[in-house]
Amino acid sequence: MSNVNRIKLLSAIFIIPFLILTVFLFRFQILEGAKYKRIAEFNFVRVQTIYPIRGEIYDRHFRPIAVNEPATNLYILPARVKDLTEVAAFISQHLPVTQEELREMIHQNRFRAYQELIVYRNLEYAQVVELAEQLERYPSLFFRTENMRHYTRDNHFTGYVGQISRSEYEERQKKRDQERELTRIHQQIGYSINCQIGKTGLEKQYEEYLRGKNGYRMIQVDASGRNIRVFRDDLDLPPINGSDMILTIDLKLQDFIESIFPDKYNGAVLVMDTESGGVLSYVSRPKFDLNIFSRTVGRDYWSDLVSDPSFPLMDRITMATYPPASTFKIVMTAVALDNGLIQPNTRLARCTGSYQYGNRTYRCWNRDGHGSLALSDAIKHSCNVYFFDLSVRVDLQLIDEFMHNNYLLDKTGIDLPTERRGFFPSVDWYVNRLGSSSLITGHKINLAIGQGEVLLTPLQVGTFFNAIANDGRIKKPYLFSRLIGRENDRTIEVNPNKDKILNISSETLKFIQESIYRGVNESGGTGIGARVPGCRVYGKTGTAQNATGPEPHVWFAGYAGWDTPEITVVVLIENYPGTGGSTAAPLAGRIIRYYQDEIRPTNGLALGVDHNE
Amino acid sequence: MLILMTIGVIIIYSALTFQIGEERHTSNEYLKQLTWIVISLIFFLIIILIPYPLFDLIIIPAYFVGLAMLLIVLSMPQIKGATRWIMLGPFQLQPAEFAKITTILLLAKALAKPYITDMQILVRLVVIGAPPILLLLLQPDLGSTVIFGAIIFAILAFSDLSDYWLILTISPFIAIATSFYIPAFIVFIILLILVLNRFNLAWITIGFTAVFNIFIFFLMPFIWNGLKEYQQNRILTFLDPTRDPLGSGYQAIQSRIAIGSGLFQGKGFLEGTQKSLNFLPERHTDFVFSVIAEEFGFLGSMILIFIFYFFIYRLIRSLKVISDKEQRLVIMGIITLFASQITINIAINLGIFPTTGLPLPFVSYGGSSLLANTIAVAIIMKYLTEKSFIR
Repeated sequence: MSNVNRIKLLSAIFIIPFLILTVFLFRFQILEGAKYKRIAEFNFVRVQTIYPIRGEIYDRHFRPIAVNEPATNLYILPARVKDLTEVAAFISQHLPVTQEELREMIHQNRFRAYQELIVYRNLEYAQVVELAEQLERYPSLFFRTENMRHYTRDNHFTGYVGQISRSEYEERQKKRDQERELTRIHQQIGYSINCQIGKTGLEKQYEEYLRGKNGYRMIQVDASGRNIRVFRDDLDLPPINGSDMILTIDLKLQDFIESIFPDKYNGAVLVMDTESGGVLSYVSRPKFDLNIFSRTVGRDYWSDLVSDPSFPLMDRITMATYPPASTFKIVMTAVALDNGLIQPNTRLARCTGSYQYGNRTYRCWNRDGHGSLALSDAIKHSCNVYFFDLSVRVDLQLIDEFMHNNYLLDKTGIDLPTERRGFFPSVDWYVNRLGSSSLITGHKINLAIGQGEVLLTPLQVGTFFNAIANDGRIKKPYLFSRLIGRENDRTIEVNPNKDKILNISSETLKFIQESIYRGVNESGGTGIGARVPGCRVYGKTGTAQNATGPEPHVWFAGYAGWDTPEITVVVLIENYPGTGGSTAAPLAGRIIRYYQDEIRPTNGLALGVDHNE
Repeated sequence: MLILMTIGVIIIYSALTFQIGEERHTSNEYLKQLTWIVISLIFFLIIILIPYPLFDLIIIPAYFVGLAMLLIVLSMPQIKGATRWIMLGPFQLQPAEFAKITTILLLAKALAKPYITDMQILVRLVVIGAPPILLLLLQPDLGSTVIFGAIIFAILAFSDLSDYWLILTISPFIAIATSFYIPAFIVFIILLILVLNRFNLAWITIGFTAVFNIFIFFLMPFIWNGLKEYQQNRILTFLDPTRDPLGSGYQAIQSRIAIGSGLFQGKGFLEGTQKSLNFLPERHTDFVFSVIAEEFGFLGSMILIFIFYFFIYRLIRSLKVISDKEQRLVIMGIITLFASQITINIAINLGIFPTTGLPLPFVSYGGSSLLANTIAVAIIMKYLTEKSFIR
């Protein structure tokens, strides 16, 4: 074939695809153009996202904690805005949304003019009526009835949902694109900029299960609402609603504790199922109104919450650390016994109400003194002097090692997104702070009674006492029990790790159990207030002087059982005029008694079977 | 080429302009594209000015640099979920665009050797062609892989390879393609035997080819089941985009609405409405044609298609004056590169071809594509300059 012929042939070959394209262009733009023009003008063909219904949260007896309620929300479609100033003025006139806020919102999404934006959530009926009359003048605004989260109890464990933030949105978007690239199938989980997302607590921790998956519907209708069916219409995907979630919480017990917790005081009460580590009650004071976040949060309310000196947003069970006070004497006991520094019957310095070291005097809580005591009695009476004297004999390094070997400072691993670690001062820490190690002993005397630098969360104290109740098996505390609903066949492993074991010898553990039983049940014991007839209650009180106020933090940490230990209770009240023995222990006693009378008989199968089903 | 680039900037400006109330917002991508045009033109001059022997020397290193970039890109953080870009400070490079050209150059160089045997051609083809294709499949970039296939086929068809070897080489690929539909496969096998018979080949050769293809046919289900589910999904969606109705399938639908609603004259510059739909996220890159068709109508699209064809035609005409075998193969490869990219991209926009990420040469937003395409044209211009025939 000659060169010229070849070129002619090539030119002809390459013109073929271009001709085919021309034919299709002619067909779409000229022959069928009118149809597409109509579709385009009214935007009749569009995909509507159907958001799933968020899973609800229930307590162990299916009593609702977080549920969905219908709410009317106001949306704006920027592409339909004719006069932004007018619309902004209209909105700011009727709703607490300023013109600047609206402009800012639209400006941020200016390259997505067809993205609907939520203006205001959960309008009151009166507001809807008021706006609806004039809405015809603003084609860019419209109402939509959607689900809103409602919490039946103010609490610190469910957390709350709120509108997705820009950074959260972009993060999810990125993740979705990655998954989409992997499968080339449109992911159903997608979030829009208007979505609500779990911000804290369980709502955040289990977002994936609660949220569900988006559904899609392709809408193809003409002006009179008839189906025009330009494209195939079997592409709809139904949404998959979020799974409902059952917690280990017993709402009845929770309500009871909320009702007896002293008003106007801050603190925390934690009740755990001893054997499993499931949390029965999770009370943190002060409370705040969770439902406010489902609405468009007013700036005033938010700044009030944040600047409140009592930090109502703080979850005091996992996020606040306190000196453990005399509950820490259990640690000292274990360290001393297991290292053979003393024997159970060893009598140390005679308590005269105070203890002299160097030129400083350390006081026992009992000014009259306890006299000469053996270890078990020292625990029962919570004698400070005994432990002051003991601390002088114990190396700080040993206590530090004990804290670490028994995971006392680690996060407990509860299924909540945030948790604080505990703190215990090491020798190095003191050397850095004080410049030398010579002053450590003075601090160590303070540490022996759980005062000074040692800091633990109520959850860590509770987990430690729970492990003592379990003869050394450390149970990871958890709130999630199981999912019900559409995907209830899915099991989520909340407690995947095997139990850790306390590094305490079994004799010592027995001794501790015996001593804290005596502390509650024998006359003269500091925990006598927690005594409940018909029930074996074990516990240790604590009273921590602290820098946050003239009144001490009062503690009770212990457990109660009938044949075997069943519940573990931690009570902490901040800055309360009284002692652990006079206030925290009786409170724990009332909780245990209520549990015995009201909760235990109704427990049936609900207890302890959560993970074995 | 310059005309196309100018059209590109104007359309990108339009595609990323939105009207909200009385305000108009334009994203600044069109300015970035202008910058890239300047950079591309500088490279254009460099390619033309470097001496020919030097240019010849860098073909082999360039091929390996291209391969290396494809390797590096696999370890890069993902952008938009895919690993197609290398980050270089503020710039993003898409090595696939450059690898296409470096591979064309080396392939042409290797296959243009005089007195080359059929076997040598095939071995060289596999050694040079397979690595970039494998790396592209790993990214995964199906669009570029298809283009690569077209280029290699074109170069092969234009090389000294005997016709029957050509058929033998491509037959397994047709076997794979037809294995999804049994009647099509049977027709293919019968046709294959008939065609091979015309070359007066030994019956044993024909028989072997047929058996080999049938073997591949039976092997396919096993290979298919060996793939992970997401890989299967990806291939199925590639073949049938409506499987992903709300992703690429929906893009194709919206794109067609945009094109169709342009009618004969179009809605006018900046007046397009469908582009504002956020369902077309790639309106300034892969779906830029739909914006053109919407705003300038059938008339405008026809003019653009004509310009593109004229551009291809000019490239074909250059074969008239170039007699060097290697250069002819390069030109053939580049022509196929452009023609396939242009037609496939427009076909995607029209919704008659599965949606795969593929830009419209010179018009779509994107520096790598622009630069690579400019270099490709510069290479042909260089050959013509060597011949002292600047047309």
